[in-house]
Amino acid sequence: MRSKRFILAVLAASLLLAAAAQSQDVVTKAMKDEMARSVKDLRLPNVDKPYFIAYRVEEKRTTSISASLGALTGSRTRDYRDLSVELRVGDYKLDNTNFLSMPSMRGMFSASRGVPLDDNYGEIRRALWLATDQAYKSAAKTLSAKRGVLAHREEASSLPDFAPEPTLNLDEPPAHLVYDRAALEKLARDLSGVFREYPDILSSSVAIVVHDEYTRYLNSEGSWFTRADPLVMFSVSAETRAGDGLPLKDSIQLYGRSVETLSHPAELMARARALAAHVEALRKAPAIDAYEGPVLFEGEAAGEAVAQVLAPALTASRFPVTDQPEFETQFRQVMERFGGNSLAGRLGGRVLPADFDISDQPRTATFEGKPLIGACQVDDDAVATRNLELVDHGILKAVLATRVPTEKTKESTGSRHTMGASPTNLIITTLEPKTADALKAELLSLAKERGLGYGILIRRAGPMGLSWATRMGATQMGAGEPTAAEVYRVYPDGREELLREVAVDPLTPSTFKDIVAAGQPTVVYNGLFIPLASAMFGMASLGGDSPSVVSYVTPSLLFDDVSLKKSSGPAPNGPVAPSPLLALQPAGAAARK
Amino acid sequence: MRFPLVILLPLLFSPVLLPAQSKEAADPVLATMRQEMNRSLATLKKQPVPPYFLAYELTDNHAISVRSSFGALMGLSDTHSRLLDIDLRVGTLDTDNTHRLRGGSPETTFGQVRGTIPLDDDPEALAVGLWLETDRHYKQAVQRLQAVKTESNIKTNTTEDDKLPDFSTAPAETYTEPIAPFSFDKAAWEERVRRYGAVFAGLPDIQSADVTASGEIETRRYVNSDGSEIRMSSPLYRLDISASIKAPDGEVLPLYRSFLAVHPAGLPSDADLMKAVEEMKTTLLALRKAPVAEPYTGPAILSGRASAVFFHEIFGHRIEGDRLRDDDDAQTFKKKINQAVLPKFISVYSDPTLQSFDGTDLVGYYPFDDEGVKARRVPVVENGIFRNFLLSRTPLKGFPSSNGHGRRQQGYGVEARQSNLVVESDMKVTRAQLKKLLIERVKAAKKPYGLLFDDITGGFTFTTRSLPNAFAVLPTVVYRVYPDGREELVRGLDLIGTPLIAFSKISAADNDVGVFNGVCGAESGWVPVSAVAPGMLIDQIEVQRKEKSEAQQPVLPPPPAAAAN
Repeated sequence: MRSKRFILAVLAASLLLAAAAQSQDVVTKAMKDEMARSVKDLRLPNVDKPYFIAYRVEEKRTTSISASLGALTGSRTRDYRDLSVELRVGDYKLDNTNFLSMPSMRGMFSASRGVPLDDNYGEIRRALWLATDQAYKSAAKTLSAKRGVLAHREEASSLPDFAPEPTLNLDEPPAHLVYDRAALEKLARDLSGVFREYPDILSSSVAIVVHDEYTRYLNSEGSWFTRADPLVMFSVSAETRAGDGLPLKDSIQLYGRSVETLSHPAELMARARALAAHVEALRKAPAIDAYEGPVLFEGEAAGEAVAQVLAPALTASRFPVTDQPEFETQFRQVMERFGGNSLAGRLGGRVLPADFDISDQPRTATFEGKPLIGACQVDDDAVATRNLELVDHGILKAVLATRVPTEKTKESTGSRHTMGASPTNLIITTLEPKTADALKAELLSLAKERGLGYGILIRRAGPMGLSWATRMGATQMGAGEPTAAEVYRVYPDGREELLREVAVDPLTPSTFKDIVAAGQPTVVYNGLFIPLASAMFGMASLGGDSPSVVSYVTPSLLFDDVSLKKSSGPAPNGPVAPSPLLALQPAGAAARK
Repeated sequence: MRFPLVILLPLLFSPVLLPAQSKEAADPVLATMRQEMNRSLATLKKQPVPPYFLAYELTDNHAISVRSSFGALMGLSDTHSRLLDIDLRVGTLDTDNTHRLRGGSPETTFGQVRGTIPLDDDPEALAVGLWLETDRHYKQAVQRLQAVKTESNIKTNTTEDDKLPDFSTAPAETYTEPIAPFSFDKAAWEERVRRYGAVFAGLPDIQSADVTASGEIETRRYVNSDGSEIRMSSPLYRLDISASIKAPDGEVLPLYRSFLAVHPAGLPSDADLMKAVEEMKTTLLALRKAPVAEPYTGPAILSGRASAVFFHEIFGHRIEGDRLRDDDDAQTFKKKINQAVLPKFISVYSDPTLQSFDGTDLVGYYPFDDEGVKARRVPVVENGIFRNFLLSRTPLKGFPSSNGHGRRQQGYGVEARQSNLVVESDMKVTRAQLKKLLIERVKAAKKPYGLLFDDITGGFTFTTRSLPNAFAVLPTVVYRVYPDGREELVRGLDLIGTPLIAFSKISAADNDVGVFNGVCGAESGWVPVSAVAPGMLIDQIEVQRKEKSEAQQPVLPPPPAAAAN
């Protein structure tokens, strides 16, 4: 493998070059000219006129490669430019947004369309012109429908629909990821080839995505920014069956901002190999019985718990006015029941034990030398980002907000990413971190108090399954009931025993109030941000595309009372015929495992 | 929702035009397919419900395309794919897992999660993909057969169709085409799609102007448990131009042109393509000023190309055999065997072995169908008398075996579909004589004018009993023909009707034979088809106003730069 390294480099575009390009940039000129014309002239008689317009042109090149068992299964590059237009009619107090008409789904106000890849000024203006026109007509109809609904409501909300912001100008050069597709294909082949040595693994795959994105944003308030959002993803997944036929799967996802993420094939190979070995080990592991008691989320698992359960609740979201009040009520009840609400209602109150602090740090690039993926200067609404203290000594001080005011947030915290408010680099610290051994000891002592013969340690839970939202999401996507990937019984003598098919009863944000202890190791976990269910209604309207990837930095967390049970997922029979790998491989290779 | 709506799009697909069969070294992928099939079958055959038939079809596709809008490049794509289709049958030829269940929703494998099939010709990785997919299909088939048996136990009324076998035997076939060469000059085509599209950029009220150039190579490998091993490989180069303009009343008027070839140099020359683009521009401008047609019944001429679409839609879909086993189907011709269904001077045959007609490629060409059955010419109507349906390996009463028309898009189940539908006429008047005949009919019927359908974009038809068996053909270029011979371009109408009446009203045909190449969508997905027909005089047709497009005038005029582009 060492000999198969390849060159991956990032071109550092000089600021000088970028500045020169900026002044002649055709896309920029077309955006500015069509914006000026729209602001000045776009109105229909007797119809509300636009008071806010934003253009977002995203230039994208995506290469997706996948492989299985040493053979390529997919390879594709796509170049495109997307335009989305956010257009608001009415005024900051009352406009066409924060509204959803259930039957017609009116209220999704983003108009989007393709934009030429060519720097063809006239055709880019044509795309802007038509998208703006469509957005205007749609917004006007939506506002009129919204007024109709509000007229029949007693409790008209006094919340404004949108908050003004000072103008901002920021030019960031494009990232221009430089990579060789053939070399990436080879890497995917090599990494996936590892699984040939594991004929008991039924299916496996390696995926590499290199996504280069460059955004140009302009709004009618005069704000302008360009921003590079490169994203590199590497994932490995494997699936097999236990002796009793129950499906077992595991996967890892690594995210980075540069192709450097992929520049250490030996490390990636080790990750793939570890995954294969782990899935093999799972086959032989005992299944868990029901368990209720102390659980230590160690390292990455703590990051996963924060990502799935706590982080969404640290954002503010606003449920839209709809034309079906019963639906609104039902939805709120369900959210309440399943802990899917924002913690914003508890501002000023305790949400974590007193020795915890949480902050969101978009302006911080590294944590203890490790790069943080969420670092950025400006959010998707052209609001400058800032490092923000969210929890101080366990007390909730602030939640992340966008320009859409909510009951508890009046102005943006510079946190709009794709569809709604999202953290960037969410950093949790504890005043007195314990050592890993001390945490384990405390786990055992809590277990003993409960009369349990062992405690439970989770090292990796997986990207889904710890919250109600991700659990239901996984089931809906047909993935079956999510199970935690790496769960161990810890016996009083310190011995660890791997368990399979462990379903963790979903945690809620209030679970975090009852953390008993925290400590080493503290890890940087990069994962997708999963918005609150209520925020999802705003998503489509805001035209977000890919979900944001966030760095979650958190110590290991010990919870006093978590329930685990054996997964109830469907368990179809295994394949009737044996794997051809057993038949095709020389006897020695098959015997190796 | 059950909707046997069949649609024809004016996109051109290419056939294989590589008749030379060379005996080269054995294909390692075919060998892996055969080996893995045998290995899986060895175990599956020992199961309580063993498979009696298994087929693998592996389709490799490499497609490159470049697209412009108004001459500005919009997107580039370059994709490789390899898709596996498996037909696995348990039970017997008489009753197997594919037996149609009453009242069940149509079953398709499309949209199901598919296993991973590698693009590389790696025998181990391929074998694993085949193994897992075979296993999945096997389990589904066993489950399905159980449902079939349960239904036959509780059913009290058995129809004739229930007694028909579910599958027929077919001889084992071996056929290998060389992998066709493929090259697509991306940079050159980028330049051309920009240049062609730019012609439309400055037109008044122009709505869209999309030009797409694409090249693809598709290689299919087929192996079945009867012993068949087939490899077919066909390249395709195509250029699609579509543009639309808005009339003063808001109606959006589209025009399409497509060109195809099997060699990069086979497309019309740059100058000829530019000429076609200029012609489209002229027609669009004329259409914009053309008067709106009124609903009308009376005589009409269909040009050869228009007749071809007309026959594909209203005739062709009713000769596709599998649909006749469906109780909900209208089964227009089921009881018409050896009876007159068309005028005596008209014969119709379906011939997938035709590679071209009068120098034009026919995209419905294939040497073997998707069930490994050798393609052959099937006489459908001889001198007006109905003779044959198009058949897959699913038999019909009186038609026990396939005639090589079992087709599918990857991911769908095979059904009998059209290939190259050729309509021949013993009567061959000239176009001028046909027009003269039209005028005679117009005068006799005391109509102010007749209609001439010159170009048609496609059409659709319903074949279920629950809906009226109407068809609609969507013309783009239609003329009124006045008794004095004058022709006037009109816009805004669709040709509608019901099939049996329409067939009975054909009264003459000319020697101006037209070819329509397109992709046709129905139960078994989208497949390339061709139709060939002479111009025809129909004594009575009906037209209705076209569905009005909802396009609203933008509030602001086009930006000056876009208008001047």
